[in-house]
Amino acid sequence: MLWLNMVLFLTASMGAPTGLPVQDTFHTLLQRGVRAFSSGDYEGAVKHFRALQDTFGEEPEYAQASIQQLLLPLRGYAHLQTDLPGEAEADFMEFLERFSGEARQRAFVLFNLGRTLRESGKLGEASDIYGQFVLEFPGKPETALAVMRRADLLLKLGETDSGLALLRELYNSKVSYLLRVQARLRALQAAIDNNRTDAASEILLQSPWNLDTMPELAALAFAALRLGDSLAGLEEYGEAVRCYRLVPPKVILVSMQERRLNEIRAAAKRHEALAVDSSGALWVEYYAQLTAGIETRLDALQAAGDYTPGFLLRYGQALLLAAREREAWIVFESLALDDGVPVVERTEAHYRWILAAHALKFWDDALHIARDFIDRYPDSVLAPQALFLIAKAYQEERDYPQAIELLTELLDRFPEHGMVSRWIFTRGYCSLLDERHTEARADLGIYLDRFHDGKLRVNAQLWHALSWFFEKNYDTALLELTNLATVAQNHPLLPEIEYRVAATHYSGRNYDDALTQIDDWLDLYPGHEREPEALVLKGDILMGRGELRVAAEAFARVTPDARRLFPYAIFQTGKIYRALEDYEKMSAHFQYYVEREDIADKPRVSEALYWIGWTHDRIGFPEKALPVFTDALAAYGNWPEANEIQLILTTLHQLHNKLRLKSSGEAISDISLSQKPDFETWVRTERQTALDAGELTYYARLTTFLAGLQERQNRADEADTLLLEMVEKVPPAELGPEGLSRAGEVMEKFGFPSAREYYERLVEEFPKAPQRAYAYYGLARMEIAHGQFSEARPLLNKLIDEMPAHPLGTEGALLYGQTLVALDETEEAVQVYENLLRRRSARGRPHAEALQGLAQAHRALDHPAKAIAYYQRLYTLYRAYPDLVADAYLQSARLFEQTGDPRAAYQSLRELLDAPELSLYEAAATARMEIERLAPPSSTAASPKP
Amino acid sequence: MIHPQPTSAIAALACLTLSACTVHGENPHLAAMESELSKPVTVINKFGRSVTGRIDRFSETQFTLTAPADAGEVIYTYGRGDDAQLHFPGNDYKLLALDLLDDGHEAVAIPVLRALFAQRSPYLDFLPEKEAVFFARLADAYLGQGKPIDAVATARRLAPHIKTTSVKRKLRDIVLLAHYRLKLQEETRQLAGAWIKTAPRFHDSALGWWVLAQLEFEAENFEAALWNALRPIVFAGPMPMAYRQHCYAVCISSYRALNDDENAQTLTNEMNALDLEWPDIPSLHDWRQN
Repeated sequence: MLWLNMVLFLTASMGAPTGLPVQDTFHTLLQRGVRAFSSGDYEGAVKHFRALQDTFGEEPEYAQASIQQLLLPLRGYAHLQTDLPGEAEADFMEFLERFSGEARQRAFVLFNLGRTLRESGKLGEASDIYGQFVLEFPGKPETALAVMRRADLLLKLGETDSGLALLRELYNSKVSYLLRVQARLRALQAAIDNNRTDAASEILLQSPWNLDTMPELAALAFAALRLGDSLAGLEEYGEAVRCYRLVPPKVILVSMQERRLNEIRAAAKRHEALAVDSSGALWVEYYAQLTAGIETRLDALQAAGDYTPGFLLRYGQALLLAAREREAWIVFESLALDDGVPVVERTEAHYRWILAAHALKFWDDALHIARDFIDRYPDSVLAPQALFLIAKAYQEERDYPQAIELLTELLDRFPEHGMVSRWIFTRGYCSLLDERHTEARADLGIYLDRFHDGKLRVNAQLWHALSWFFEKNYDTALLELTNLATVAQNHPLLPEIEYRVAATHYSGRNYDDALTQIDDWLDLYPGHEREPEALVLKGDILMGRGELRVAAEAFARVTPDARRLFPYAIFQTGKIYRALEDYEKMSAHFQYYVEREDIADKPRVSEALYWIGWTHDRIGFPEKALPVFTDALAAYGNWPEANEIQLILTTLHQLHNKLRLKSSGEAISDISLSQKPDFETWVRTERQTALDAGELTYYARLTTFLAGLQERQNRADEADTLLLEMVEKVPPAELGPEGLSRAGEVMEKFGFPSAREYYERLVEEFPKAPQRAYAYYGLARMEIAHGQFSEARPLLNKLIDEMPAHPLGTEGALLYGQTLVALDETEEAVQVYENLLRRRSARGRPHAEALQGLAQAHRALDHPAKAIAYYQRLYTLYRAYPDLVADAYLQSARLFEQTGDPRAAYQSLRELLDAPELSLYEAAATARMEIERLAPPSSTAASPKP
Repeated sequence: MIHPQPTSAIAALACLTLSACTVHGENPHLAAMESELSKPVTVINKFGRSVTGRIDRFSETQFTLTAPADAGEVIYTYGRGDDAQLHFPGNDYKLLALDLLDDGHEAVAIPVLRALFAQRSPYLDFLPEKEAVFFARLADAYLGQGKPIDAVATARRLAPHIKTTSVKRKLRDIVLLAHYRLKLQEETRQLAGAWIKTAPRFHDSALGWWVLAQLEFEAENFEAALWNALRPIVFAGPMPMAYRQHCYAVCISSYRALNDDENAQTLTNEMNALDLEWPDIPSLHDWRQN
């Protein structure tokens, strides 16, 4: 310190009077005090200064202003350094009262007075003194230190805004980096301590931290961690992630902080060496404080456990909730597979890894990770939740039976778990989606009975009601829905419930109530997300009532925003014009749809084109229709989504014939199709062109059409060859529903197991296509061929339930009946056959087969009389089907014999053998053998029993 | 002969590069350097005795030095365990090369480094590790100057003589990058895989992850590119990380290719907040958006 050297110089120059003992002189004592002070021996300095005062305090020499001006700051500082703040304060105050002082001396006194007052707990006064320092010495390097001290005091005094403002000013100023970064860190900590989360975020994240030189790394890391936690608590996950990214793992933080501490110590030493003036002491103190703070924090950090796994879990969770699922996955996976991580955190991470996979909808992965979790931690408290997540993954993959099985396992293993209600509900819901309505209702019923406060009560009631709807039991569904609507008045699902009421009225053909309900609904919930559905429903209701033009108005209100419902409304409107025989309007309507350019994704254009062509033909301009169809084929023939290509080809075929007749075999206008002598030749040429151009979907469509032509001409072999060619040339992914069904059929016919691939693809890729009936039927047939009746059952059930009017519906029902008999569910089989007999569309052979099925069912039920009656109906009414008739005679004969009526048995066989048209059947051959062991009737032939 | 000092590096640079100095296709300064480097070497044995001569033969375990004697020549044999120090002439050129590299004149530094490497590399078995460490700069300069084959050859030559972890890593990075630039995809994949296998969770470089991600991106496997490039981003921590911006660029581009604009924007914002520059990678140019 410069002024300290001056003191030494002055005291030395005054000299000691010659001949006096050195220790007794004023100057010697003063010199000793000063020397002790300058060597950092503050206790010695205090002792000597006290001796000086005790010995010479009353002397005028001691009272000299020049001596006191030099002595008071030294003594005050020595008092301060020896924990005597009261004395220090007195010295500094006396100095300030008596002397204005030399600038550096005054700065020293003011700064240390501030420190003294602070250490005495006089925070307000200390703050004022530091403020005075700043005012008096604005440009000094240590002014920044004073600002920081003042800010600290203000924060301690609860004057948070003022304290933060000072720190903000400081870290935005041009003072040294070290002070700026410390001010920023202090401001950050203060903002966090005072729950000023926004301010803390701004301070932490507004600009990058220069961590290469940042001294208090640990303090920053923990501030970032705390702030990250606070932000996560406030659901500001994106910002939380940014905070967590400033937190290094413990091992790196410790090593970085140690290195930085050594650098700070070296810097402190440099300042000590340079401490030749008053400000040097301030910096030495500053570095001492800084170093002590870092050391304390580092010691605590090293002594504490590793925060890293817990921090990473929170970081991963913030990523997950910030919709950054892949990053969350990476964090959780990394922890879950790290054997060095404690098992508790590892287990938690593994579980959350499943959640990340779920959030990404990577169901396969979710299943795999969750299965791995169960294998690793079968006894974990998270195991039930993990199993539940697996079940949810199965549900999302539409593997409902697996989901149900897993949920059942959960309910069996953990019947007291807190999530039982959720599991029961989910199982019921899965059953519903799997069309197991009875089971669904059972679970939903249990949920409603057991969990009166369950959060999903209304949902459960709604699904319960809808299970009846799906079973077409509209009365019960309506009853439950209307009851639910009255009790769920404030529930968010109320609009859904009321919409379903209208839909149920409609499905039950109660159009009046349906219309009232849907009109009310549209008034009550304008802009609701169900509004497009409601408008479409209203259109359908009005169509049901025969109010076609009003219905068209309802459909016209459906806009392209309604996505899939928009084309539905368009085609319903087309249907209305067709019913009204307003073909001009119908044509214009579809033309407008085709030409609209404001619809990004416009489906069913080929279908619209078909109808445009169709109307041209209807209006009497078939030549106009021809180019519309050929253009549609050229544009959409190779589009897998275009559903009407077969229909267009069929119509084109008819049109071609009509035009050829009309023009007496001459070329029709100038279109290429007209130049072909027959349609089949044109199709073959078109097919080859498509193949050459690599348009495999179109090639396949033309092939299936051509195969159909061959079949109608009884050239089944030729048809099979064409279809096998198609299978060879076109990969399944390029086939539409028609191609897949025909490929499946031909492969099944020739016994190729890969038929299954085509059928399954058809069901998966085209779940709404009517051709899926062939897949259900074909797959069921393949299962039955292997004796897997229980596997065949749901397939046939779907066929009958989803497409009762499909041509395969009848065959499906017959096969379903047989399956039920094989599964010992004969009563249900009887129902199936009886329903079939009521169906007029199944007249002829299907009815005969239904009778045969009924007879077999009653035989299985041990009702021989009923069985015989059905056989008798068969061979009486359905003589056109001799194979069935022959079998019916044989079987009824056996039943007669079995019931102790050999005469009737003999008579039945006799009738079989007497009918020449039955003689070629195997039953006749069997009858010839069996009749021999039956006694011939002794008298005239008895009539068969009724 | 030139006697370059570090401060005169730029002057030396001018001399080495100016075509005006070239006579009959030879640069006289390079010729002078080669002449200097071809002077005899000095060996100081463990007792402090020095001998100057020429190395005639060497193997991995020993070399022989032929020194002139009064009447003719004396042949000395030194083994690896003899604790003899081998001193080559031309150390000033090392300083020159370092100066040139530090000033960003890689292309000019390469001939100097190459001449030094030719002089000393055969004897790396007998030289202290710091000599091999010095020549890592040559491998790096080759890579920087678009000579990946030379970079790989130099790095592989040096690798067995390096024990310092940071330099070993540097050479491994050079080899990996050189393979990537040579478009040797399979080898690059293997090297990147090995790089990743030894990298800790929190690392100061993302090179291996980026290279793998970049290969996937260029093969239009955007999902795979994303997973690889996200990994170092997730574990970047607060400290600087080499190739971090490359990983951000691949992730943002991949998200855009997958039509996930939301995540692309999140990462773009993050990249900007971190003051990271979009890297100059041709395949990613079109995916950059502000």
